[in-house]
Amino acid sequence: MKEILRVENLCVQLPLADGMLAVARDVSFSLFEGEILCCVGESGCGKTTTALALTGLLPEHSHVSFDRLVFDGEPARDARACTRWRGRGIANIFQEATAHLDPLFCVGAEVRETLTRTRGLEARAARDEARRLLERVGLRPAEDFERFYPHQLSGGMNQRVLVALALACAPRVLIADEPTTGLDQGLRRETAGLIRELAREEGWAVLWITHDVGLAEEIADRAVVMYAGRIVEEGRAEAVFKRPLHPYTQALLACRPGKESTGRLPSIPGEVPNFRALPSGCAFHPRCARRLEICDKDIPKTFCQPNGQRVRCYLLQNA
Amino acid sequence: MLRNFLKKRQTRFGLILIGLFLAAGFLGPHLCPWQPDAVDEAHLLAPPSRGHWMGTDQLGRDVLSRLMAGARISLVIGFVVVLIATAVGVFIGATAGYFGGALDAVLMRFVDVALCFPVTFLILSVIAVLEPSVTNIILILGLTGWMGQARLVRAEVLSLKNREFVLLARSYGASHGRIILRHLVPNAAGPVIVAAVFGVAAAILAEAGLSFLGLGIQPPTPSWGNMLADARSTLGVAWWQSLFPGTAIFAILIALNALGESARASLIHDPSTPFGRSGRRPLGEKGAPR
Amino acid sequence: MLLTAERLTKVYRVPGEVFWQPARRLEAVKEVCLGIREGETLGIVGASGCGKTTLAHLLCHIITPTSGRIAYGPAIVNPGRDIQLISQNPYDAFDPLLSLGQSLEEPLLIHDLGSQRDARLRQALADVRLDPDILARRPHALSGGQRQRAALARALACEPKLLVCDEPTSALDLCVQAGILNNLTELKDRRGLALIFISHDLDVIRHVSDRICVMSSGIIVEEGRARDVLSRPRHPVTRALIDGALRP
Repeated sequence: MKEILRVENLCVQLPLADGMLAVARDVSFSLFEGEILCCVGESGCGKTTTALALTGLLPEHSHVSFDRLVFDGEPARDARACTRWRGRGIANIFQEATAHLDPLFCVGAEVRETLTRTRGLEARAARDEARRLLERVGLRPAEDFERFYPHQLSGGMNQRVLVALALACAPRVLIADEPTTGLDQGLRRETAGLIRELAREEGWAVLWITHDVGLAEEIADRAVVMYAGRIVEEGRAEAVFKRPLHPYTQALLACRPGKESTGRLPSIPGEVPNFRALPSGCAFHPRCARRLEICDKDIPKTFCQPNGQRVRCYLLQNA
Repeated sequence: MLRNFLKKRQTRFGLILIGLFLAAGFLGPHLCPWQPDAVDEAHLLAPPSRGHWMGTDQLGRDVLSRLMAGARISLVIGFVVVLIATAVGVFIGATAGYFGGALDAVLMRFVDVALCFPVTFLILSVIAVLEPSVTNIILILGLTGWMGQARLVRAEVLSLKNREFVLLARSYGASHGRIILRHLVPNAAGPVIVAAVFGVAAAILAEAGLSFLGLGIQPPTPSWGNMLADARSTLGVAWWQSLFPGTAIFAILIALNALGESARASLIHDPSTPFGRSGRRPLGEKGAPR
Repeated sequence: MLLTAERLTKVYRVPGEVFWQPARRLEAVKEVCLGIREGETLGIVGASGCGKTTLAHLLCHIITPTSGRIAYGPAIVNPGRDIQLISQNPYDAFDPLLSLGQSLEEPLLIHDLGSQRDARLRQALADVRLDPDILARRPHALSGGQRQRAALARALACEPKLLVCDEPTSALDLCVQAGILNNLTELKDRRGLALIFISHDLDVIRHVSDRICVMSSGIIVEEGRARDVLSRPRHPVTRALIDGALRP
């Protein structure tokens, strides 16, 4: 499978009132054509920051550094490349779709504007293509839908409009940051299904960020688990969700109320650490039931397993 | 929030200047050798000298002592007017915003009617009937200046009353009065305080204007406005008679505006949440990044 | 029976978009009848916009019904004290200007329990596993999970008989959600609390409920014991919800 985006050791620092705070460290992953990579983690683990870094949408004065960043064969020299790629190769969709659409324009106009800007289409061609895109994402009949304003449509429909806008950019990579959070479960499934179908058809490499482990399990081809700004586990979705190796992933997956669970749900003691006061060594070790002596000394490296899964944990050191 | 406000340079500048005026107004008359009414016949229209630091007017009265007495009057009028206006405005605005419906409609029409009153003519009529005392001026300015506060408070209350913590308070049995006084009004205070600070400036300016026209504080009681009126005839020859009262008005307005601007910057945006006071989730936790 | 809702209806009048258009009637809750017994957990599940939150607000006296009524059993003496609500958004559950101590004691002061303030708050905080020193802090210093626990403590301080939980964990992470659900189960056993648990997440509802009501467009379409409704759904809406739940 063709590799479209490669990130090696991405580090992001955000500017705060009292200095810079490192929010993502040594993040490395690759996106392949037609595949969905789900980035899973709890609030504040740095996944959204990573996504924003890749699209150049971080707050001013943020600091982004990496060892390698290659998009579609083109290596980037610095983070400014990300701003260039946004809308021209990398498309984004975000949570709360209605908030991301201009309330003064009907949705048809938004799509037409994007088409004119990114593909340079003429008015009539743009109009026809806009209608085609709206139908493609399921808003039929397009002649009616294109005249609606965002506030007249539901959250789910607006999310589809954002997908249509992404289609309009004809991107190679789609970064979706929690696009279905806040939608109903049925809608969630539909929207997720739509994006997966389009990814396969258009050959998009999708980075899907979510905290919803159930959703990730359903749609991901590959998965990445983040904790306190680092990737702690990575691999094919089936392996990560069915046979998790990192204690955090195991604990996270065990927290979910399931068909058989009654009484107490297993939960992880303690709280997600504050970035300002990260524990020494492995950030998860204070909450880990299987910690070793070495865990609070140094940050574990990423250890490769025979099946291709990569885990940042000393327990897997000798595999 | 309050700490941020007090740390700003603008705030300190404004507070120091106003502090000076307050000291001048309340302590000054005790320290000053001349009474505001006292006539020094030896020095009519005299320029600033050791005996009269700011000179005298055409009746031989010391400008500095009149200035300080005027400061007290201006400040008292400014603050009391705003106190009345804010009290009435908050009451009407909060009631209209919270209860909504017919009450809201009636009160807001009442506000619209009150806004149509031309203040100057109202004062003229009142003065024609009653005497133009400090109390009457305060009452008129106060009772014609509450409408802006009412609208501000109503707008804030409308958006606050559906906040989760208000709904929860209703669910555990909080009375309407408790919700309005304990939760809604304090949370609406930001814009109200900013408007109040600017309101003091407006009230002082209004009083100065009225006194200048002879409709406000009547001589011989000194007010910066009527001191300027007295100085009209001597503009060309006695610069000290008009410069000092004029500068005083200018200075106090600058101070109040600085205070108001700095209040607007620190009280309207709550730095404890990046999104302001809306009660939405902060950056980095589960939720929209922006 | 703790309370019975009899044909509760709430209709909103939505003005037309332009002033000459007639107002529309929005029936948020239509003729809902439900009852809850002491110590029972009733789960209310449905898609967004089905009226669950409106129903919760009706049960907690935040809004008044257009028609129908709520009949209280003998155990509910003072609805404001004996029925408590915890809500979906923990980030807005507290007055930002008050300290947590002031927020948590407010229901006690309203219901004349101020003299027992210290004892009750201590017990409530212990029940939700929060340190008593958070009472001095302001809400913005706490995380989402901590705030939701504090909201729970506020509700528990009055020793209610019924706790209405309106999507209390939707805004929280999985592990935090697990912690709060465990807390609620424990409290249910220890204090004999009845719970009305509202959610759109079928897995959570399945985990906590004894009985389930399924809502759609303001009406209850199916009701019964949790195990029965979920294993043998009869109404198409219920079936759609179960199918739509994302678990293999």
